[in-house]
Amino acid sequence: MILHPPIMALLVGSLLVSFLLLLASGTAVRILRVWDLSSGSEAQLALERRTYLVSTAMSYACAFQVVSLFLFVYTADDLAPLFVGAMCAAGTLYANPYGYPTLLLKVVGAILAGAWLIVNYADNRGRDYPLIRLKYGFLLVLVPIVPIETAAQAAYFGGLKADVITSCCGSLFSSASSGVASELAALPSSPTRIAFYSTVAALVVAASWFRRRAVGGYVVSGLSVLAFVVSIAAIISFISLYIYELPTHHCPFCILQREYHFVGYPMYALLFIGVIAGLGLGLLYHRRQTPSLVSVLPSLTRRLALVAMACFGLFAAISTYVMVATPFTLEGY
Amino acid sequence: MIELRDVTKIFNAGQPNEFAAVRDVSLTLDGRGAVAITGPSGSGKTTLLSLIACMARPTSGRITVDGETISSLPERFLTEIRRRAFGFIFQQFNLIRGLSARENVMLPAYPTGAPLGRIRGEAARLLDRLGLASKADVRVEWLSGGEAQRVAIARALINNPSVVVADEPTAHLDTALSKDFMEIMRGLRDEGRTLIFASHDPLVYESDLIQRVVRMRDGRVLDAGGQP
Repeated sequence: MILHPPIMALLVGSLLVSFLLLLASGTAVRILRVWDLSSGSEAQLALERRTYLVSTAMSYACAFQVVSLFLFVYTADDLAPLFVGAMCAAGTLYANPYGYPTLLLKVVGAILAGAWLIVNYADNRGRDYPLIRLKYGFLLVLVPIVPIETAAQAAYFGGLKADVITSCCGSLFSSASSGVASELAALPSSPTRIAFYSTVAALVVAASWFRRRAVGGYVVSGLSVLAFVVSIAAIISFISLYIYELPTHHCPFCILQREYHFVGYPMYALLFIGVIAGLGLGLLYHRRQTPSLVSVLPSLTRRLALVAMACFGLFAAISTYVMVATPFTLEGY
Repeated sequence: MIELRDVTKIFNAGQPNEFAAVRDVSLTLDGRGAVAITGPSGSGKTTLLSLIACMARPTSGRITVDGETISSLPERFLTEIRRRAFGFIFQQFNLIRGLSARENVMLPAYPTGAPLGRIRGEAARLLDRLGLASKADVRVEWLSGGEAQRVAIARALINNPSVVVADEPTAHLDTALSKDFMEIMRGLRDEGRTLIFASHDPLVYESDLIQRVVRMRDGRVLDAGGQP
């Protein structure tokens, strides 16, 4: 294992989050089984008091979960010079079999944790714990993901050997290779571009419609998730090519580096904030009839729709600017 | 209307020093008028007042104020109700030393976000009404017991609460000052406020101001109403 401050921070942080989640899962199960606000029993009142502590602890844990994704990728990128063949995080993550599974688990964990924060925020606005079951039911979804991710992350960092020869991003994200990354890299530019702009445009229209009429929350939510997936594919398929000004370099990680002005961080941040807002919107829209939240949810869901729309719109704008501002073209590709 | 249903408050639950201060209290206090909760020391009067005024949560049971169950409210809403609906006069006054009478009175109004000029004006009006206009800028540790208590009354009224709760309000006052206090309370009752006192002083619970006396002992209500 390589002793590196961000690695220690990630390992300790993830262990703490997993520990807190496992502790909270006991409360979550009890809430799902016995929560009864009409009861004045000692057990119910103790559960009400306990939920403050658990919700507060989980808020910090989920916030860490979101931030840790970016720290993980930054750390992987930072370690690249230690591995022969690695040029960026792509190569570092490929240095042993746990790198990419950990990344995938972190992506899923960060999105779900972000959505949980939104549900928690809405629940705290109600006087009668209106989303308590949804909130803790949702928390139980995170319970298996985060500890598995913690274990995968520990196996990944623990298994890193500095003398390993790994592959560079040029070969991993090459349309000539095989695998998911290569298939994404091999996506034809024009159809992917059409799919990307169409999805973002559909999301902007749906979100605008939702903000005006308060209908179609599930559509906005679904389109946010779709736009997230399509945008990642678009980065690999064609956006990255314009940033690197190379027709064969599809790496989604090199854009996080200094020589590309760290443009990847704001771009990925926009995608994650957008999909989290969209997912949160869907979850809250599902409970829009909750009596104690009727004065809260309409404005909150409208704001979430605006955030999702703005994030994906801004991402599309940055991508477009990157493509327009460079002399590089992909004509005929 | 304030309603308590099977309310129990246990301190240090599960510990060797566990103590049930209030046990299975069910009580309905109609809005408007003055109620005295009386009983010997340790009977649970102060704890019951704290529960009613949202300053503590019951271990079990429910408390409703004007139909809303407050004992289950999340803390942020409970704080809002406590600030808006209840004015509390503590036995030891709990004034903040080093601050003037005016500053002490103004303190509970700051979190409401009301304009400072309005808070200052309301504090001046209350201090004037309680005969303390000339002491407004005097630090509270320099005030006499009676003056300090009137500052505490003004502080309890600064947010214009509908319920004023007083815990052993005459414990540190002589007979004349105690009567003065009750006259001030009479004025508040006549304004339509609900007054709830915890006291074992006959000057309080035998006063003609009091419309109902609740007798407690060992954390239980022995007699939920009627005149002494």
